[in-house]
Amino acid sequence: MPDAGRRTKQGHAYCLKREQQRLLESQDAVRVILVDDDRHRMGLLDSALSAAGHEVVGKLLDTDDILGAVDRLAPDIVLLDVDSPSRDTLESLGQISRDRPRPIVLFAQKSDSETIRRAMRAGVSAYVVDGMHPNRLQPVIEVAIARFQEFQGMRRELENARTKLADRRDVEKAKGLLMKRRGVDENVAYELMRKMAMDRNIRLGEVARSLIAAAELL
Amino acid sequence: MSAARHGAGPAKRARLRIGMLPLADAVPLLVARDMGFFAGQGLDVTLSLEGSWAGIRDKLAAGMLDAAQLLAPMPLAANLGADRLGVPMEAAIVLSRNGSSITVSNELFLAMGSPPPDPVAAGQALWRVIEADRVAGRPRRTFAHVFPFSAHHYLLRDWLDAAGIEPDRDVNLVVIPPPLMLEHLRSGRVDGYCVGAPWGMAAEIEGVGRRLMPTHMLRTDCADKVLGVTRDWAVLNAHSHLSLIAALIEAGQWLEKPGHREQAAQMLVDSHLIAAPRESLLRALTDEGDGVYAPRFVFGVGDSARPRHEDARWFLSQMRRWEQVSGPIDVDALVESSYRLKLYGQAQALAGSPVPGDIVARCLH
Repeated sequence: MPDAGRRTKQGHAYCLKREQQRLLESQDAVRVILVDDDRHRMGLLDSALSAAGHEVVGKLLDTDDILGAVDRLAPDIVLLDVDSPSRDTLESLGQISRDRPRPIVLFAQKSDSETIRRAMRAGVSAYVVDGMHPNRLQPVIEVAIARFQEFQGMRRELENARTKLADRRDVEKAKGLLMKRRGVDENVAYELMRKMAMDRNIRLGEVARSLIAAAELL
Repeated sequence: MSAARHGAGPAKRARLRIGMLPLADAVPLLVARDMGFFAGQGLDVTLSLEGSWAGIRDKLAAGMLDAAQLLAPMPLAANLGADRLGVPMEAAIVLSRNGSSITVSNELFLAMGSPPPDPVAAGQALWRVIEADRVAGRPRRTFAHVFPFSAHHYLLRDWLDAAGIEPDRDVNLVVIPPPLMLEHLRSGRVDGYCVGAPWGMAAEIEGVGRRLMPTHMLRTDCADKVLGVTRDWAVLNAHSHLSLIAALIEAGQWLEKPGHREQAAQMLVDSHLIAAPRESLLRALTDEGDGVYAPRFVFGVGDSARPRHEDARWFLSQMRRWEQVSGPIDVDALVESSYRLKLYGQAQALAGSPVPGDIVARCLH
């Protein structure tokens, strides 16, 4: 509560009460560090974890000082993308731990392999303090999987929409090129392209783009 | 390759997904794909660019990749369960030997009195700096490597220890992904690192650090990367595995022929895989104009791609020395099952022998 000092007395009391409540519940509240270069996804994950009663104690980019943050913030779990380069940095913590009292291990060892596979397919990887009970871990992982999937879905939709738009634009352009070069009408030009797409088993948009590229070469 | 996919050939091509990291010595995989060695062995290979060694290991273990570029000690760590995953893995071909260097910040290089490229002299110079730091109560220096189970890690520790610097007491050792090394050196978060080419020379080109020595001065022709598969996959896909090794033997040999390193370096530059200065990439593979600091990658000279059990034994001795593993280990059985010499021999018979014409070409060069 960084702004507690600015609160009114009443607010302060309320805050203390909340703090007591939090301490009571702290057996379930998990301290989480998020590492993600995608701020949008990090935001999604942050709000979902907070809503589930967990505490996001750090939000970092791949280029940030992750080791320093782990030392300083003492998280129970670090969540990050399966493909994040920072995974290797976190891996080293579990290996040579003489100097670091808080060993962190891949959750894979503690968890059932189905959870691992689901998490990996969704793109989540997690580093967990050794000895943390799987019961506390599971809900955090579930939230992360759900949010990563939701994010992937949104990105796919956006990409689809973009592709459709680009396809329509390129098909129109290629149609115009064909009409001019072959002296055919719009319907014939469209049929030519459709046949080419079917023969080559590619999308109409791709046919259009290769026609445009070929025309630029000539 | 697309012709192969569309053609109605009688033999069905095995489709494989191979993981790799954006490093200079991933080049045998690029060569095998782009020069048709995979296709020639009846394989339809997709190269999958991965973000970390941990990620590669997990995807391999979970069957999301068929095979992958691995750091040479990784199969041993997997078979010992020291990687905390414990999915058995094996390697039957070495993709690269040598190639790394130890680099320090400009500040540290000067503090060391600009030592010559010699492990002993540089080690003594670093010891003096660390001793002076200790006496003056300055914080410990931080050195980075790329992964707990890597030749880089062991070579760095070995060098420090030989200089009387205890790696776990006198310095901080951290892991930083290769593409982020330069930034960490620039920002002063690390004082030095041991990493594969081109990241040593890149630090010099960018003016943020100086190389102390290439690691082949510490251990000549040490295996750096291997092609790894899980033991289960190797059993179920014995034929594809042999074809894969054969194609990579051919790629390694191709890389050693006159003029091909330049061509491969250009491939690497054109692939835009590695965000390092262009010149550092070109020189990483050709060694040209780099004098004693040259990385001296070996991909396929003679039998260099055959795994060597002495490498495995050395890695194991380092794992034990630095307490990554403990308890009794059946070293012979472990080495045997991790580095599969017999498979390499079988694959060698499948690999096309070097074209005689190339020997003539080499003489004419």
